[in-house]
Amino acid sequence: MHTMDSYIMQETFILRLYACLQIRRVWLNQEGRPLSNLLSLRHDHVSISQIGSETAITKAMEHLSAPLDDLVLYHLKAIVAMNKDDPLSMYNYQSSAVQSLTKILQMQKEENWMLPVMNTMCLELRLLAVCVENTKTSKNMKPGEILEKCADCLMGCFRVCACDNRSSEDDTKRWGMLTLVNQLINKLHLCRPLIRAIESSPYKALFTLAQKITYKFFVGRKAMFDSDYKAADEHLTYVFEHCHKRSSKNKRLILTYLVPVKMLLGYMPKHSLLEKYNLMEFGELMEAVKRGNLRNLEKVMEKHESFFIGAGIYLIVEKLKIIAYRNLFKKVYLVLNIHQIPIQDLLSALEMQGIDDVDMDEVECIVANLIYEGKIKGYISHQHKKLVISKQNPFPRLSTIP
Amino acid sequence: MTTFSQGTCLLMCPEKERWIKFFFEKFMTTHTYSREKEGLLHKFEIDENTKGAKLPKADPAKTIKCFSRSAAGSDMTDMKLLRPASLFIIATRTDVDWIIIYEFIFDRLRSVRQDAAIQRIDALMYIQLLEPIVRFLVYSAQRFEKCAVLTEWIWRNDCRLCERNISEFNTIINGQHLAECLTRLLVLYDESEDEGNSLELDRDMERLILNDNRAEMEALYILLYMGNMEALTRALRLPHDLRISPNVQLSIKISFAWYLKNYVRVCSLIPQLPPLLICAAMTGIQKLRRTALKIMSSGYNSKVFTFPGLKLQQLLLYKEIDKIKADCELLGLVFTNQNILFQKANFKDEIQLTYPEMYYTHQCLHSFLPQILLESV
Repeated sequence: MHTMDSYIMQETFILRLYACLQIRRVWLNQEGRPLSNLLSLRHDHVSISQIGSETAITKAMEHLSAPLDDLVLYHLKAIVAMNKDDPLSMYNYQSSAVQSLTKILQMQKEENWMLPVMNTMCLELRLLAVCVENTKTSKNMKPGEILEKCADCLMGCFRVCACDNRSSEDDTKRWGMLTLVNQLINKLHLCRPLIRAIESSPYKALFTLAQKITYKFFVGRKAMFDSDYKAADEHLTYVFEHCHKRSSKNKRLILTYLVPVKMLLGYMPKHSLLEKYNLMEFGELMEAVKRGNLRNLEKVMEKHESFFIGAGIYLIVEKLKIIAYRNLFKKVYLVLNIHQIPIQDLLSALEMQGIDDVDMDEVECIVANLIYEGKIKGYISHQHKKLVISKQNPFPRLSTIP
Repeated sequence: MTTFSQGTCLLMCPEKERWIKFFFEKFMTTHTYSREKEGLLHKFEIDENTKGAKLPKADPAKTIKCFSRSAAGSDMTDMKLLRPASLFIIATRTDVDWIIIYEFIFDRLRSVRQDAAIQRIDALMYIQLLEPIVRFLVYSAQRFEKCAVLTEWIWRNDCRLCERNISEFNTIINGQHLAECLTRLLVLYDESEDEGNSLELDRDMERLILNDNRAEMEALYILLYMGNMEALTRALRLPHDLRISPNVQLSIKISFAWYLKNYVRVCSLIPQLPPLLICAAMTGIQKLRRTALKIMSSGYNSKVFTFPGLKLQQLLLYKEIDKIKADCELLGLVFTNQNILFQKANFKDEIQLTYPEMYYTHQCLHSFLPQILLESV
């Protein structure tokens, strides 16, 4: 028994020593990626049970010198917290680790080999922050408090990267900006200044595809919430086409935003596509919009309310009502085939669907809005209670409206 | 931080008990005393018997701490004179100009808030403190003298405000404070919702009261930010019991209508709201009318056909037809024989707001006061 224990002790000692020497070696050789593995909380080494013991920490420090020692120290402490299943302290140590990393990055002029380390550690910091936020260990914590702190910490890194404008293109830390921006936008919602920083960067087109895709996804989604549907379509379409073809989970997520945006712009998705990605909620929606059936549209929205709210697109879907009105009024026009359409007929069309809370004034208001947005060409005569439409192309194709 | 005894008697509302303790502790502070000496007492605070004197005495039952900025050396934590209830009784006085009343109350409420922040009072109490303040600020937004509202209009439409007396910009400051208080309040609601369910009966009773007012406050928020995506998203994610409350439901309906620029529906639903919520909804009417008139200038664009003024008055909740005339002239539209000639090309895009107009008459507004301000204190 005694020999067994001492054997394990000896083995962990060797492993520890080996790990420290490894860290020192890759540090001296400036090998960014291996170092990022050694400082990652998701790497194999964290499972060595003894790695975070008090003695291990002291021992480790003997082999390392400043400024790396602080960084490793916090990393080891984070592992201790992880083994104790204490996410809050784990977050705090990781945050300190990222802060010492920021200092190291600041000191390193004309070199950027540490960027992989920064990418890994910042990603893990963000994941931890989200985890702490969700578990809510302490009652005194304000909602969003940890996320805010995390954002501050990442912004520290971001500033170091963004200010590195004297180094040559190969050595500049500005290559790290986009990953950080992606971390910051994902959950942390700090968009405008960050997007500006990227858009004005000379390396905009040269970032890696994976980085660009993540970035464009967020920018596209933001454009959608800002009601800039053309830009949203552009970004999200790029993301959908370039995203890895086997990551169907991501593709589905992209489509959740892209489909309603496309519909607003007048492009209806194919049923097969919706089926493939299990997005049939949109199928029913599309049918109602196409047919101009407001009553059904309301029903579908009610039926899938939690899906639409959960995905954050309920308000976008609400806008589809405008398209549905346009389609319905166009149908009335096609049936009557006249250029002076009585408002009463438009109202009757709505009433036939079972919409009973709309009156003549409101129909006029809806039509006025459609004319204002260029979706109907014509004007309303209030005295004659008629919608007078243009002889040519009174209902322009939605995709052609600027 | 002071801890409060939890009331054990169910008949005596525990909330009230805490209020009483909180408000009436040490109300005659050194602060009041020095203001008395310096002759800085407001006329609402003076002891009637010493009114004519050179340095009138303070009436201890009336004094309320006034606002002063926190500064190094001044002890801010010692003051516990928070009494919104007595403040609002002053508001119901008819013998004094509203602006004077408003400025007095506004200043004192600011001080109340400052103290609350410094003393870090507990969330539930903070909520109960902010709710009447929010009501007061919403109400005041409607109650302003014409001149004040007009100045805001000038300010918004044309930025030559430098030479104007700052006190005229009540509307703007009022709006800022309202936004501050309301967002603080919403955060507090969210936080108290996150707290684990306490089994104590008192706590549950308080929560019941809380939810009652919260529905009103959430509705206010939705209406003040009518059509705003963030406010609507929040509304959609409200807990079920709040979302189905009639006021919240109607407010959501109005906000959604405005989200799709359905001005007819918005204006037909607003009068169905209770008075305070109408005050909130009407804060945006100048912008709403401007947008509606712009849309109508496209929809009814014609060189010949006009739109009846009386109809427009009904659609956009105008009180006086003269206001329509003024707004039309302001926006470049022709108003002839009580009719409007909408022409897209003539619409003056640069004008951001129509003229202000009060929804209620002064007398009517005044009669709402007790109901709005005192009922729930």
